[in-house]
Amino acid sequence: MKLTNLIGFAAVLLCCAPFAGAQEDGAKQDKLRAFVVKGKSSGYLLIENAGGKNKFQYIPRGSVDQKVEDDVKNCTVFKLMTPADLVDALGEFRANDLDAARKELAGVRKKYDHYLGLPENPAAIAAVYELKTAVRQKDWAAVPGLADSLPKDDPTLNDFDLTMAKVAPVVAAAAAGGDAAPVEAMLADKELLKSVSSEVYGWLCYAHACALEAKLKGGVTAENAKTANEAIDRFCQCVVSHHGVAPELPLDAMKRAMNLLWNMPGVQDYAKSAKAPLDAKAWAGAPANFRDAAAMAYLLKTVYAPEAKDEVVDKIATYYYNAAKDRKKED
Amino acid sequence: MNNYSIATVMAALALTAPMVSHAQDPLSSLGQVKKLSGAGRADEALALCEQVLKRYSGNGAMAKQFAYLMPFYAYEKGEILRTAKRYDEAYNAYKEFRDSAKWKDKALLEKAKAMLKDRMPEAYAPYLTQCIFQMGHCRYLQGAGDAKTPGVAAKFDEAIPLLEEYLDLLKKNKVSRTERQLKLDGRVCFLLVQSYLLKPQPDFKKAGQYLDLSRKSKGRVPDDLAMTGLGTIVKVATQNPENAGWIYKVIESSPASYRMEPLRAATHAAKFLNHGVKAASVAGKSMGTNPEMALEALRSANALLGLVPDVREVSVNLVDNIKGLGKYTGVISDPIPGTSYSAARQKKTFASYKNMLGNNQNLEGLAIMYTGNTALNVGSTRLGKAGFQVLADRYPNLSSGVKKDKDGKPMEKDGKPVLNELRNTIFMQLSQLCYATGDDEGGAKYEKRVDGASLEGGQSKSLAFNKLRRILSQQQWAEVIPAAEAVKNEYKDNPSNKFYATAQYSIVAAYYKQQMYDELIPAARELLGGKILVAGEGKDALTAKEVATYGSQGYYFLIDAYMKKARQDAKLYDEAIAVFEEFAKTFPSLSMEENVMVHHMHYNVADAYLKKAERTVDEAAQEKLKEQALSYLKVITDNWPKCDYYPTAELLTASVNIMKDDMAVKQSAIAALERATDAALAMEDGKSTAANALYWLASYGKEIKNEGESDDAQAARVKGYVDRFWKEADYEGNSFALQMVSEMLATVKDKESFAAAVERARTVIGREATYNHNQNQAEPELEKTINAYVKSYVAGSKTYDGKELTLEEKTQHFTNFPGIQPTDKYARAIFRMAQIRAMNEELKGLEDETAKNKMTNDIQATFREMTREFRPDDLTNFICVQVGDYLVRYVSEFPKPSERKDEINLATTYYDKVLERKGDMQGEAQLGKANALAFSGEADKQKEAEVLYTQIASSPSAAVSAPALMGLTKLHLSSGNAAAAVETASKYVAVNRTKNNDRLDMLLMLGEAYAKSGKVKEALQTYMNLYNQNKGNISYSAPACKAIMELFWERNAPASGDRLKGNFKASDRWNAWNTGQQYVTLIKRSNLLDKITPAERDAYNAVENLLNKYKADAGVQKEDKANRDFQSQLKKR
Repeated sequence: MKLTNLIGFAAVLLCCAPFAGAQEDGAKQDKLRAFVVKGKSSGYLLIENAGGKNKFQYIPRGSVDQKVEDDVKNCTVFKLMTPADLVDALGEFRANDLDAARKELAGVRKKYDHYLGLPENPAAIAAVYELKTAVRQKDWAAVPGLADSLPKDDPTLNDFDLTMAKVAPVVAAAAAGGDAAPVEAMLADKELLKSVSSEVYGWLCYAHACALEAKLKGGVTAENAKTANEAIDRFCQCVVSHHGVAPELPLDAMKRAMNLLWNMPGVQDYAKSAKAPLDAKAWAGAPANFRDAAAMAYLLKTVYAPEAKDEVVDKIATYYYNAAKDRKKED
Repeated sequence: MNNYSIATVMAALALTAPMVSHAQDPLSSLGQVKKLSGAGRADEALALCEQVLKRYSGNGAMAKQFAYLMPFYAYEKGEILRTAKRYDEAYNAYKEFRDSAKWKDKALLEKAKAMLKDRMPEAYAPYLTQCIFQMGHCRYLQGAGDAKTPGVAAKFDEAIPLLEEYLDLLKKNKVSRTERQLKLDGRVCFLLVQSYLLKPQPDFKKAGQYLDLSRKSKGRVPDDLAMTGLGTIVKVATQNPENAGWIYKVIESSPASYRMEPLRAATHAAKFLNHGVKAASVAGKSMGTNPEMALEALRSANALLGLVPDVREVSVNLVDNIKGLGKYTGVISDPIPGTSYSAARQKKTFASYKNMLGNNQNLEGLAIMYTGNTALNVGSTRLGKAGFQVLADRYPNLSSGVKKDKDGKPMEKDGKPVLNELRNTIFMQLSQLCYATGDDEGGAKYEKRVDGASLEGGQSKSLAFNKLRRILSQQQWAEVIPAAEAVKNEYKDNPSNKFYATAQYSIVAAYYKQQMYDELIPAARELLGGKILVAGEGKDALTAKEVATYGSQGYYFLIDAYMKKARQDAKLYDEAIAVFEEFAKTFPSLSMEENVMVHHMHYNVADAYLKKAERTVDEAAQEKLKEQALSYLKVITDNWPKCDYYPTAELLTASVNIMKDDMAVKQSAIAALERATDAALAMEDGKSTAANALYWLASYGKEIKNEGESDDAQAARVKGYVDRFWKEADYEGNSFALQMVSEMLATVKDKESFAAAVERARTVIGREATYNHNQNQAEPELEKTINAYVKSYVAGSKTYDGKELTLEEKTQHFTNFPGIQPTDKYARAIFRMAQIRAMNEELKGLEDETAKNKMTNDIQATFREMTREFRPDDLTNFICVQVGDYLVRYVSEFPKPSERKDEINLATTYYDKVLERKGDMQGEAQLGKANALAFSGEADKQKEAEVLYTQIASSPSAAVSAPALMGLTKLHLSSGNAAAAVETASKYVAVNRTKNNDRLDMLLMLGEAYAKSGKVKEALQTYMNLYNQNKGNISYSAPACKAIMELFWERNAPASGDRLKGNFKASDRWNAWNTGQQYVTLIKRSNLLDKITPAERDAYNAVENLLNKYKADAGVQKEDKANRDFQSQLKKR
């Protein structure tokens, strides 16, 4: 669609003639139009509300309040138009303004809840994104309720959405320091994972890492280093699974991985003996975990969270050595 | 816009508008214009616009009636041309609209508003300001270009003022309400950001200002605008990497434009990924040279990769939507988000996604891979590994699409596309990164999943070499060989390549570690052969230093291999020496820093010469070899006083020099031993060398005085050595401590020295017995020391304490010796046997019959007690053999061993238990049993011994085969089978070249065998060789001399020839006498007689007696006189 295709917009308005027999009332803001094709007729209808799953009600032209009910199945096309407040809320979501997004999505969900049951209705869409926002905000207390209240029967929701609703409470429980077993079971469930997007897989990795980290009470020792290693790997898998989508969990994952690496046996002992920044020889001789912690801190400081001020990250990043400058040029 | 709607509108307007024919109807024409433009028939659409504008211009009634619609047509011209990408014409059309006074007429606008109030309250008012934007928009599009038409950067300079003018109107609200509702300022700022970045003289400051403004605005830019701008910036950034950071800034300036919901993202996903890969490439290439730029590029790569949707999720969304659109062929617009839905378009997109899924071309999988790799490039191995781990778990069959041939065409095989599969890369990278992070288990697991056969070029080489490196770091030596061979195979076309060289070196090292010396030698020769260790240029070539390191190490492995093998085949010492000579030629430097193996090599060659000397019979040759060894030892002591070999080099030097006759040389040996002691004690693990040196100092120090040293000073010096030994060099497992104790016990001279010796002996014996018991090994010195202790304790108790120990007291003391573990059967058996031995010796000295009988009974009682305590069933094979051997040695000390039947039978029960149980010590048990049976006087037992000896004589272990040959020779001699004795003795002498007492004993037996088999000449030859090479060793020279004398006397060949003619040959009997005469004279002059043992004295006396006997012979006297007369006549002439 062209920018400000006002002629198109005008054409839409011009063409937005009432569907045969349907009354138009664009004044009420919680009423939505739908593009409907039925038989040989097509056009926009003002939908009053859903009348159950895949059933919609509208007031025909000539009638004041006599609602007529029809079924989406009887239509070739039934496409609800997207209200501006949902567009705005999703804009906040995509612009990473999560507090505003969460509030607006909750509002959208409430405002348009009378459309639940219809395909691509804004209330269901808002519910899905509200849940996603809560996960991104790490609001683990709210996630189970939001997941539970997702309209699972709604035709708007596909397998990915439904699986996400199943996964989210498990993620919340483990991420809050709970048992690792349920999330491990999900990570091993190949059938479940078919409907898990890359981002949601990242959630599972994050949650698993948190649960493993919770087992490291009293810090990392030689005895629990294996668990710490697993947690580090899972945090890193969270980062790469997101591959730049939704920065909140990956950022937290990276910091926690960095901290775990920094606390692995031998790392801080080496740091005490090393002089920051390291030279090539000291870097090559450093423990692998030390190098990884420093590289991760450096990435956090320069790429992933350059605006954030974090003393620990800054301190560890001082040890970083850019080994790329020593590599021979490729032919 | 569909015809049905237009008809309805027209029907609705029919009340207000006069009827006009269809051909002239301006409303339907507008719909027609839109349709023609949408179908790409721009010229027809323009023509229709012109037609309508012309028709309804002027002052006619129809013109006046429809005048309010004409601005729509005028503006539509710009739209048509812009859609057709005829931007200059579109610009002019918009400009014409803007400049036209007609359309600004307020009355006309009001009429249009009135006519369209229900549908379009503002009528064409938005166009009056929109046209400014569209002019700028056209210039922007010209600047950006597209896939087919390159952009003209100068157009951005023209776009900017127009866009800014429009932005100003927006800010001042001087635009229509419709435009205000659409919140266009963010989008206009977005276009200005790009224009300022992409114009010929970029203004980053301005771009930054508009970026900030853009972020504050809500809403999103339409997809085509967003993607065009992004594509342009990526292209510019790829060409000018310093601008790479602007990519993520542009994305962040309008996140809603780029972070699309799945359906929208579907169309652009591949572009996001490709752009992300380009940015990642900039990051990767510049990280080493310009890290700041690289990090900006990395941020951009992350931002772009974050826009790639999940292919499966997208596919599900597409399927749902396509289903929802059914058979509808039109396009549905959703105005607020600005999205449109078209079943045809979505089906096309879905087809491409289905194809991607079919090819395992998961775009988000590729995004994950690049995310991990970019982090790996910065140094985060964990993130790199995580990327490949997620791929292995979720996308193991990932491909990056269809392979293309050199002409860029997609490749096919058997009708199926040939995919660029990443499976092997994924598992190989994951395995290597697992190893790098210490997860060896993971590394091995994923390495197995790499299909080596299908790896290409560099990958298979990498895999092979990394596998070798891993195995080397884990020191799995058995696995090194095949892994190294695999690396060699990869680089077989270039054997001087450093990987090939490393592989060959690893093979040599692995053989060395596994002590596989037969295999090591050819491998080392291959390494050192000249084709592999060649320094060169280039990243894969060996440096000169690497060549030197591998080479010198290779020589070390080789020489050490020969030294180890030479223990079985002494000829190989020559090979070891040859290796040293090669090494010295190749690496002549004596600097340990430059030539890291030089001291090892010198030590080995010195050792080789010493070992050769040990096995050399000829004394002169032996001396020469020792001098060679000394020269190399001197290099060590002169050049490397701090190296680990230094103390041993001094020790070995001293061991040679201390045996020489020259006192000054002997004194130098003492000095060398002192230096060895000091240096060894300064080392962390030098105690054993120091103990050795101090023991020799304590022993030889008593004989070798320093220049001008008094007896008291010498005694004090020796005491100092002893004290230092116990204070600084003693340790658990120190066999020299036992020897020191034996010597202390042997030199007891008073009560004080007896008490000191006994106290020290108890400590050391207990400690060493326990040590050896725990190590499950036998220490020969322990036996000697225990024997010495027992003897000394019994005698000393009587002499110095006035105590005659009873049997019970002796048994109590020796049974419960302090420090001996109750489980240490071996040490306890030694004590018991030592006690029996001491009692037997005491028995010899008794004269009183009663005392003799009592002692005999005591001995038998002790013996019975011993057999009860040490039953073979309770002992290990090792201890059984030790006890058996002990009994055999005990028996051998008796004048008539065959009478010790009980001991012989007892010994065989221990050996039989070992043979019955099988397991270890079989050869030793067979030998021991044969030795026991050989002492028996019974023919069948002796026959059994002969059978056993013959079996063992062919054993590959010289430790049993040599004694077996010796035992067999003795048996043959005692049974009168001289010929067989010659055979076995000759075999022994030929194989066992080490010059030791066993060899000398065998030479004596060989001589005897020759003599008994009538081969007098050979017998004489053997005895003479033995005699000539061992004159100073009276134990052997005396019996040999006696044998020579007897053989000559027996043969009694007469004198022959003529003295005057010079061919006189003396008679045998004269030779017999003369040999003895020379020997006795030599020994008397040598001062050896004061130092020899009683047994040696007896042997010497036998010679002297025989000499005196032969001297008295008249024939000898006559011949001797004739010789003397002839000699004196010769002198007178």
